[in-house]
Amino acid sequence: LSLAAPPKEPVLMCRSNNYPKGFYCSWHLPTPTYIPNTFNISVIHGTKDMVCEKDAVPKNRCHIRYLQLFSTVKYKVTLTVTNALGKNFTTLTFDEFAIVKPDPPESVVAKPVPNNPRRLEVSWQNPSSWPDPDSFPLKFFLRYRPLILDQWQHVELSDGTSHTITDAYAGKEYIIQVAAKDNDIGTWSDWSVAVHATPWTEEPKHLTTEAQITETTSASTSSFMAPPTTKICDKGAMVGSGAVAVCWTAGLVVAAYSVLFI
Amino acid sequence: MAAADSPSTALRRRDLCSRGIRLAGKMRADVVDLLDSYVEQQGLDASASVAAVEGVPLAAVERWDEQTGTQRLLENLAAYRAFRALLAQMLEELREQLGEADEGLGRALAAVLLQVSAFAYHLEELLRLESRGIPGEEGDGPPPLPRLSLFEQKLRGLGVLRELAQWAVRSARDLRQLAKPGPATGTAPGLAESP
Repeated sequence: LSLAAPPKEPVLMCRSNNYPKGFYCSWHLPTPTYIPNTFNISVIHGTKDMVCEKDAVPKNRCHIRYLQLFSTVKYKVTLTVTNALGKNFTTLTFDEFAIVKPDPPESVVAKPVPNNPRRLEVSWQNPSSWPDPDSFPLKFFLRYRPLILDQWQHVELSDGTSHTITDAYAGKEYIIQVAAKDNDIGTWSDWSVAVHATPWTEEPKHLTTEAQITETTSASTSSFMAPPTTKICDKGAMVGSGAVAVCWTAGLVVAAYSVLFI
Repeated sequence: MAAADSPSTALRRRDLCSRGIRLAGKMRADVVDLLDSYVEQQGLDASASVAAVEGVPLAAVERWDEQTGTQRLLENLAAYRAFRALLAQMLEELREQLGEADEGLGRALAAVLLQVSAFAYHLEELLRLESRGIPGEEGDGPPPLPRLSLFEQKLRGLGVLRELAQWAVRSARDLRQLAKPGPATGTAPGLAESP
């Protein structure tokens, strides 16, 4: 059994993700009242009342068209919530440019660059909600890191919707995200959906070791040369210490060599 | 009558607009820094509301996207000429108020004044390119401002700088509109006709 309650102070947020067309405000109650609530929103710009048109979906949102641009007069938005047991309200005051926050970039794609083991090519698109990127260009922030590390690398890009990462660790899978901001005003968008990519790597070749070749060589008539790629000593086979440490294998080789010259 | 949009004119316009956008961006950054210093050193509240100041050109505009190129250039030019006079007056008042006590704020204000003058000149260049007559300056600029108390002077200064910062944003947007390539007839959008 839940007890009906008067409304607590509502939570109100206003944001422009489609500047310069307008902005929207959305709200919710921090705790349920368990009875029906009515929300009323008022928007004042200077001395002018503005109409906030309620969205059909979601119900707790309305939008306002900017009638003026570049105004230094603040907007004041008041949200009042009423139910059978009481009333509460909250007010937000802000400048036109302070609430501008684009949606994240879309269609982020990251691809390896053939024959370049340290490069990744990243491209993306402006958020579709941003109405006029030619007149109101966006700038972008790209972050990337290999999955095995926690620290991000960051790049800020003032134009264009692509970038080539040139310092990727070869063979490591990367995670990449992009954010957007109006070139002049407002705040950064949330990060885009993350994409993963691994830089190009060379196909592994079949390697023939010189050890295989030297196994077929006669020990009595030819000099025995340790192949450069063959490991002579394991650590565990060392005797002695310091500069005169010798391993068993090497010792046998030297002994065999010496016998040849006796 | 709009000048025929020859390739060289179009290139020159694009070049002037690009440089103008960079100038506006630098000017805005410096005005924002100056605003912070001004608020701090004048002992003001950064969030204080300032009523519209007489003689300060407002950046706010309705139907901004419908303005012609000529309107944009003329409104910008009138605004920056007014700011030139307002900032010069602010500088004089600051020197009277602080004397030699604070040169940093005065220097920063003088630097912004220089940028405002340069931007006004840049706008005149753009108007000349479009074969538009440059309006005379006699009618521009604010009327002589009434003698205010020290606090009222400070508030007025806050209003001037806030509006100038907003104008710098608007100017960059206006120049981007002007820089857009024209239609097939060769006439840039927004510069096709006089109001």
